[in-house]
Amino acid sequence: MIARKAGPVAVPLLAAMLLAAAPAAAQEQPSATAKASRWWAGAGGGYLASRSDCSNCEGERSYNDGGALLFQGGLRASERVLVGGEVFTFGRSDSGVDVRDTFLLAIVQARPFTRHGFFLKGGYGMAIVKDTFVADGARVTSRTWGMGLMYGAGWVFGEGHRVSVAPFGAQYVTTVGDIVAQAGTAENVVGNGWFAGAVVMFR
Amino acid sequence: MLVCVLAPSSLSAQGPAENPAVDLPRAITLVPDPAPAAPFSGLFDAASLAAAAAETADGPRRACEGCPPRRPVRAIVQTLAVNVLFNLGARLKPENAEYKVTLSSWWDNLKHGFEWDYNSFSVNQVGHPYQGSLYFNTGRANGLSFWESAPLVALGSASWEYFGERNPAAINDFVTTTLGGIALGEMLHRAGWLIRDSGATGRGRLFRELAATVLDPMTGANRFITGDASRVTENPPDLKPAFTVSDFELGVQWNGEVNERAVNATGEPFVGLRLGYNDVYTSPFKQPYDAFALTLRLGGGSAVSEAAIRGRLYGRVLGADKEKSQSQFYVAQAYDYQDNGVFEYGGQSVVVGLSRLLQPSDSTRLAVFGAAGPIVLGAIRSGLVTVEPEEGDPNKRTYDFGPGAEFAAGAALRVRGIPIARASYGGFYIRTVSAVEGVSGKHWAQVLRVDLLVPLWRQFRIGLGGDYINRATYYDNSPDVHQWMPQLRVFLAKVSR
Repeated sequence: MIARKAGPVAVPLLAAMLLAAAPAAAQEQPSATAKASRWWAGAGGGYLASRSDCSNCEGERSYNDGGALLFQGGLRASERVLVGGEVFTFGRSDSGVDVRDTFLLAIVQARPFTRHGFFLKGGYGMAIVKDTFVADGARVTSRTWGMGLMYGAGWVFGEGHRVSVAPFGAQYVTTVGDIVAQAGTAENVVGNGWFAGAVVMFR
Repeated sequence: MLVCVLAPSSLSAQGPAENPAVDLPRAITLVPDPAPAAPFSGLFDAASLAAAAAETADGPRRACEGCPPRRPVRAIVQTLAVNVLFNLGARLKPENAEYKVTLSSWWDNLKHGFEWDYNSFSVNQVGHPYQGSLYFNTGRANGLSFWESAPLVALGSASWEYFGERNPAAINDFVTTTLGGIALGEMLHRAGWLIRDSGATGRGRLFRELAATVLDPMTGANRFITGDASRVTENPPDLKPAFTVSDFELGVQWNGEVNERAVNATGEPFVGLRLGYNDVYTSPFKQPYDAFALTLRLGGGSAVSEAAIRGRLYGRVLGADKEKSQSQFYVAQAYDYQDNGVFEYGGQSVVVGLSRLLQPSDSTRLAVFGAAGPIVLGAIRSGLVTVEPEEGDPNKRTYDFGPGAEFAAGAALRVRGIPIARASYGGFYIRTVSAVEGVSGKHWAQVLRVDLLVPLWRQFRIGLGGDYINRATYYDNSPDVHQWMPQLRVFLAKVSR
């Protein structure tokens, strides 16, 4: 299925956020760290290439791509470990394509090195999936939920400041089991998404 | 001497408290950690990282005299080398074409992404976690902490799934290798250090090093490579528990067929081990897995009929008067495996629990606990499978996968420090996200377990145990399944502490 680009709002939104955040991250003084809250929050977006498949789906399913948005927040467990939650959403709705993936994840983000911004992140939780499959000759469209999982890595610029920017790449995986509809059943549905983007983080 | 313990685990009902190895010292009281660690405080510890960053004239820094030199880059390289060795080893068999990877197969796997695989229960629930333990212990062997070693397992697992085989990457393998690898890895690493003695010399020292290498090959190999295997020094203090309690069992297990009484089954011999490494409920918390419980049963219906690990990730003594408090809050990682020929269950989970130590009399201790938490990924035998896969069938799956939740409660009763009885009740829920029969559903199960240990002579006990498993599966478009499966055990046990 070839899908038209969805004109994502994520990309311009992300660009605006990065432009706004970059000077702030650069100008913040380290003294801000001492006053920083244990709580943190972030918002961002980027590009996602995603594909769902099932064990009885017919033919080779193609990737859908476009903009994705994410919102995060939580607690700073230590100076280099963030724990919290993330909402990640991606959708396309145009000719022949009606896809929406939303993740509600518990996440951990950790910087292994004191002097570098490199970080690893992982998440686990729930995924809500809306998609269409052609399985065993039947066209199956459904909205259901299942397990969501994410892992990735990135670099945080401005760590220790009130505002920082964190570009990262990640794989988002959904698995929802069987999607049962009147027309038929799509079995063992799994979705894989590759994400590249950034988050502006506040503390 | 009775010990009743409820397993924080579900099916296997093998909670730490249930383990006689998790015996309480005769006059134990909960002692607050003089410097209780905050959650994740040991994660990428700044001091250790900073110290490690600077190398001395003698090479990389050691966290302690007997600790391994800290070499993070070497740990990453060795993690990837494990994959290379596995791949090359598999390719020795000409029929293993799926291991002849190419750049093209790598790209194809990346494009395809994750899917579910159909390997046998033991391969997916024991084999992959063991592979993960090797990744984990490349970190531990090179001076990394528990939390620092954990991402290595994900790295090793993901790189194996995408680049080690031509088969599409399996999401279940990624999860069980990563989480199971952490649990098995840290348990085996600490078990290896129960055997080693860095202060010893001679042939006895060599045998100890070799025996420990069998349990923890990565640490052993690194010690022989670096010369630490023969260097006389102190043992790493963090890897020597205040006490251990072990329980070796030899007996017979009767696994009742579905909806059949256990006495109608044929007895299966088994050898079992229960190991308590400090006490999950009472020992002060310092770092992850400084207290864990292991239950292992070989035989009893299959090669490995039961394996369970409860490793404490965090603990905190409760109450205003921490010197006298007998209550503790804890978080534990759980690994479960049960396969006795009738029932299959495997799970990777994390439980949050409360425990309390009661003292009905001067000589009697009763430990009680309750725990619950999410099952990150569970595997349970499908209620619809009626025919076992034939030998050589590539699709050997007989079980469903899914996330869920579990709960457990239990108690262990001891008199003068000696276990007498233990009991546990637990249950779990799994929502199928990969059904072997193509029918999704919701699995529910309850497990009641009781064990009695009757003193026989000195450290020997006669053990009587039983499980009652009651499960129900509610399918989306197929008739529901209700089953009950009893088990009985009679065994001779030798308790050591």
